[in-house]
Amino acid sequence: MTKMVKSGKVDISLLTADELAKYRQVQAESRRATMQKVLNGVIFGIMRYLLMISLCFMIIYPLLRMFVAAISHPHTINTVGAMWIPQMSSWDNLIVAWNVMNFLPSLGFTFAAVGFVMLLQVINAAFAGYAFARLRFKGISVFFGLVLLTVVVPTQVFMLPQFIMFRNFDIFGIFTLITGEPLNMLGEPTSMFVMAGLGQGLAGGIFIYIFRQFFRGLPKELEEAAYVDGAGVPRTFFGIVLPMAKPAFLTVATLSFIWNYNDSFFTSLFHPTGMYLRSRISALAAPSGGTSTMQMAINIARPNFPLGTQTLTTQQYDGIIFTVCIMLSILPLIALFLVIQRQFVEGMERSGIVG
Amino acid sequence: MKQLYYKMTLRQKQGLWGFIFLLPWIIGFLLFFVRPLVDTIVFSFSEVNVGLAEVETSFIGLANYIFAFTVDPMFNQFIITLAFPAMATVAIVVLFSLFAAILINGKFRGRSIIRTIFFIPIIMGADIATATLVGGDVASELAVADTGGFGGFSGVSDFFVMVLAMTGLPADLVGVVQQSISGIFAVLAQSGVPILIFLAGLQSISPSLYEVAKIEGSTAYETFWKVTLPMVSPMIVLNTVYTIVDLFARHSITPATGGAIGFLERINTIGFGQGNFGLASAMVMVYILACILVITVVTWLISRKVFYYE
Repeated sequence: MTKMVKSGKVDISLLTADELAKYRQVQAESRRATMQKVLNGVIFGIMRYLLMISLCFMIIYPLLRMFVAAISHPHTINTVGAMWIPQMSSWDNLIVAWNVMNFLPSLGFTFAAVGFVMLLQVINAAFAGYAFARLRFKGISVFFGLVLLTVVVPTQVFMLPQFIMFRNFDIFGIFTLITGEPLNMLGEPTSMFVMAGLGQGLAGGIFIYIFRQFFRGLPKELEEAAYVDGAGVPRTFFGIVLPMAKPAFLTVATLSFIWNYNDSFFTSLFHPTGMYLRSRISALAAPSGGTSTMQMAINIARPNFPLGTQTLTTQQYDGIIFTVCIMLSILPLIALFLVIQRQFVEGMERSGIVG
Repeated sequence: MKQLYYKMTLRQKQGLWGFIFLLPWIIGFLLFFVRPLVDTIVFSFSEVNVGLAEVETSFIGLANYIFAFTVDPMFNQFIITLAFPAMATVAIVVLFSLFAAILINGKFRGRSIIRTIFFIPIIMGADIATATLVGGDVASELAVADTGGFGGFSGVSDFFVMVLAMTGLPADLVGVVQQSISGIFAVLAQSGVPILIFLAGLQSISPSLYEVAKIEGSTAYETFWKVTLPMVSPMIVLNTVYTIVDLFARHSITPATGGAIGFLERINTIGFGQGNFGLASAMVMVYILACILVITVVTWLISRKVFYYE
């Protein structure tokens, strides 16, 4: 003990030869163990990065291909040896796709319609989720079971009766009384808005579930304090609970926006005339006898092309333009997601989808 | 009214407000779920004539169901493929997303970029992501064709299969491996949301549990089986259900004549295309029951192994 210096280090000069040899050995062993640990860490880190990077590459590979297709000159697409760097670049493909999609007006329309649907879904899910979490009444568990049922049964299977119903929309004969005939709600976005607002839109059940889980995870004491101070239920909900629920709102809003944006089922069934980007893509992909759908679309959009824009009439070219159209429709979402991704991931983590 | 409200206890008031908060959903549920469901059930037992103004139905018993099972060329295939091949995909998707979530969990350089990339399949939407990731996008197909299969991923997976076949493994095993390799893109496309849910689950595990495990001298392997896995097991149930629902909504078969046909597409063709609402409704009813059955059984099987932390 006396041979130890206060700092914990050994004063070598005080050791006997035996002790010195042993000390050296122990030190070498511990050094080797540390080296081994560091080496393991480095190897593990390299493997991990390799795995992550290769998976990432697989995911963005199609996006990169789309981008290359967009900036290649139509005549030089897929020439041998020009997979990643186009032999001749031009904006022609992009311009053609842009006009075929009628991009800016369609984008504005899609954002407005989808944004409104998202707003309705979020509001409905927040109210219902809070009821399931805290405002329980007798028999509410039955309703929660029914919410799970709506999650399990995809809404799309009811397309036939829903179609008929929206053509002759009427609740207890009210509209027939007023206007003499039932309301035809097909071909208008109203039908989608009504369904979203009443919680039966796309994935409505999942959103209620997310809100319920979030509200259940909040500390009860705050609400109890509000009740003790004489606040009613609505005041507690709007004043205390909602300000705390930002992560859940962000999660649900993002998912709702993305899923509705990508949906072409509701839009093509209930509002086929709307300028939804995704409906447009489905329409372009639809098979047609004779002239290809894409060529017809290009010909219709042709007056808007700037002078000297190159187009082709081959099937391969149609495919390229279609790919660029898909890229155009995805890009706004990716840009949006880049902006909010940090809050979104944190929101997911805190919104207790978990548990 | 006001008097009555003031006399209620807080619990009763909460219940009343709960009902009010839930009312929009209840109305929506009755209007857009129960009513179509009842309609579908009625249609499925009837011959349906859709006129311009009204819908006429005449009861014909089980004829639609019998037709669906015995005459329709594709329906049986839809229902049978629902159970087995779909379940294999679900298992792979859930396992892969757990693996991927563990991979991108924790602190490391470039974390936010890599996470964003992993969530891109969510943004693309499953249909587009599947179409493009599977290599079905036109650009990569053409690239594969033009460069002699080199540089496209189908080339890579063919190469793997060739190597595997040369090692002398049983053909069945090679077949399974081949499927999972060529299916990795489909798996990636579907695992966006499951990865997100698992990641959230991993983040919510209390660090003190890992600390205890470390102090007790448990290895990384033991920590995974004794701490991580039990703590994320509720998420495994959630993700399994999500993946099944997601898969069923886009369920499709590839008949011998080629070209995948989605179930909903088929319903659309029979209902709106051929005007046979009765037959389509019968198919939908069987389909709904099959979905509910599969999900209930799977959830029940997994839940027995789940550890709930309250």
